[in-house]
Amino acid sequence: MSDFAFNIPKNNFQDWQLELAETLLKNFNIDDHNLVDILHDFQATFGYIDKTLIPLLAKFFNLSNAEVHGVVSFYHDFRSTKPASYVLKICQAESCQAMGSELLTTELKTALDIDFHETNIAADITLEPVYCLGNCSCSPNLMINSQIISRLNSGKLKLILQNLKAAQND
Amino acid sequence: MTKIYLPRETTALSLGVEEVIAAIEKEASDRKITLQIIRNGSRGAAWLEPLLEVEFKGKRIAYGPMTTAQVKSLFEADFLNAGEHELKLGDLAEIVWFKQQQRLTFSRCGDIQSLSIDDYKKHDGFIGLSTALNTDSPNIIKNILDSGLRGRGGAAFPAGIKWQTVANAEADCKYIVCNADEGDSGTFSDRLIMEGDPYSLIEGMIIAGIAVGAELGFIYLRSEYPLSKTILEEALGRAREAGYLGNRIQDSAYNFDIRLHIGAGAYICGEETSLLESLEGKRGQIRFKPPLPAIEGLYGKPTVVNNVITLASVPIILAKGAEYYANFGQGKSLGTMPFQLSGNIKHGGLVEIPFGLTLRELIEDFGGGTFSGKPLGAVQVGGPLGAYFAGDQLDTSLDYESFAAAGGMLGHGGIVVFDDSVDYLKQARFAMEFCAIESCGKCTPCRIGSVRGVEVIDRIRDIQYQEERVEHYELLEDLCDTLEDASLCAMGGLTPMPVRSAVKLHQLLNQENDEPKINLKR
Repeated sequence: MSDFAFNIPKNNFQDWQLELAETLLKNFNIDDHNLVDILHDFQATFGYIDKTLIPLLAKFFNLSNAEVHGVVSFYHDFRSTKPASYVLKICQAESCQAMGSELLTTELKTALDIDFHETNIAADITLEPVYCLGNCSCSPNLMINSQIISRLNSGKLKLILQNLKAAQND
Repeated sequence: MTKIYLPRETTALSLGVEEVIAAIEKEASDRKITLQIIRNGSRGAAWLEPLLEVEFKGKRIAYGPMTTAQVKSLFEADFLNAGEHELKLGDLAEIVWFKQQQRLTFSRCGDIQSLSIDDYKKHDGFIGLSTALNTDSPNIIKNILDSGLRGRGGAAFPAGIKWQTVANAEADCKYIVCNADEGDSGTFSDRLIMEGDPYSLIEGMIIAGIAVGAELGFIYLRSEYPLSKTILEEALGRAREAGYLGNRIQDSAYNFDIRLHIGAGAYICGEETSLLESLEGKRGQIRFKPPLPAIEGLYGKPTVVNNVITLASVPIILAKGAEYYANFGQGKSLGTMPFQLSGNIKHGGLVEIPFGLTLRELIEDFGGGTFSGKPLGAVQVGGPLGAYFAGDQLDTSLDYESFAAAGGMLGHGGIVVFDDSVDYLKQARFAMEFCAIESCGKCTPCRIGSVRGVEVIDRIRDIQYQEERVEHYELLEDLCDTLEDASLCAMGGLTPMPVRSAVKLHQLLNQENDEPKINLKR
């Protein structure tokens, strides 16, 4: 745990602007990009998929609004609200279960006083479940933004939350 | 200048390899020592990560698992000249855990700098491709058929037959799709090869393209693997620059290029037809079969859909011959399989061995028992849709047929170990819950059945309903039958496998508490 240097970059998303979205959309062409690709790009920029984006995309792809909404809502990755600076994804799958992830999840929820898919605004943390991060031989795993932390335990979790709190003031 | 190796790989990163590197660089500069740090892939020994290797007298001397706190003492112990230290593991080639493996697909992984094409070529890379370029399509396919290579993604369909079908299909355009949506809990072999030896996958895809007459390939990578994405993007760029991708590859008559697509966190997109829908930018709902993707796949064109490991195993088959590969393994399970040990295991990681070892041998000899030190409970093999094994079942031989006969499946080779604190009924419930969360929603048994499954198991557990347990077990069995027989794809069809096996173990464990024994099929 001594190796845990905390330098995970904060999420830094743009505020939603329809005009910006319209400009960004001009960078894409329908031959090289599919709807999922573009959704990824928009989410990387704004942090979530604003509902006013849906008609734009529908027009771009010549689809109905319902079809676009269907795609957005199908995939777990796409959010409908802006996440906090830190998104914590704690693995709920079997390998991590075998190493006590359930207890750690409860600890995390209690410490942050939120459930999955919720944000603790004061702590600037959004909590999400994830089903396997592919680092199963060092379970349990936690992903903070795009950094995975493995061999999670109670002590490590406390330290992470402390570090996140300290980083808030940066 | 001394060369040292430290992985640029997810497990090593999750255990602080970057901090270790920073500490080594600082210590080296303080001591005015120049050294070259080479970023390799992981050799799969997750329990030794971050694993440091020093090139010394033609050998690799290993130290691990590294921590920043040990860096100073390593320099004091003169590790650059193979000095003694408590972290010293010795000559890498002599470490039993590696020595007892048979690495074919993973032969280069960890040895080479992941992104260096030169290094790849020095370690027999692109030999398979040059063989392919100097022969014809029927001969390539014959090699794959004769090698006995079966789909390593889970379904274990003979790769050669799939290729043959696509090659025979008449169409103006065909595609190669690599399934890198490694969603099963307990599996990471795809990730290890993509991060540690990405060119083996690229080479395999090019060969597949030549064999079936496709000029475009897609890698469908799950979004949970950000490092694999970075490495693959870089590798694809370098391969293009070196003339391995693009028009007239290596001055031959063949064109082939690869595009990388990122998934969006849906487990079902590992199912091939759902994956194709997702690649087209749609909801990842499964398609009816037939038509098979080999006839009507991506955008309605004949498509080879193969798992990462299947494709990455192709180069060595072409390079060394089908017979060489088929000499490993047994029965209809030929070649080697990269098994992945995870969960509550002491020595977790990737173990590539020929088919045929028993599950117990793998867990005890390689895995070294449980991480917690408690007795072994159950083992789930083959991902969230695989069966739970315990007791005598652990003596099942690790090959496709033996596992099917024992009521399980090898799947993608993931082995998740639980110690004896495992609650089987809870695991059965989770299997149903997972199916409910990840179901694509197209067919009723999977979409609704899984939700009802969770409810029924809750009632079996609930003290209020103790009198009705027999009925609920019967209901569960009925539900499992429906899921198995009436689901459209393996998601609903195989969910009964972990449910039945875990419930059976639960009943066995609780027989003195009068747990009703309902005739569950497996």
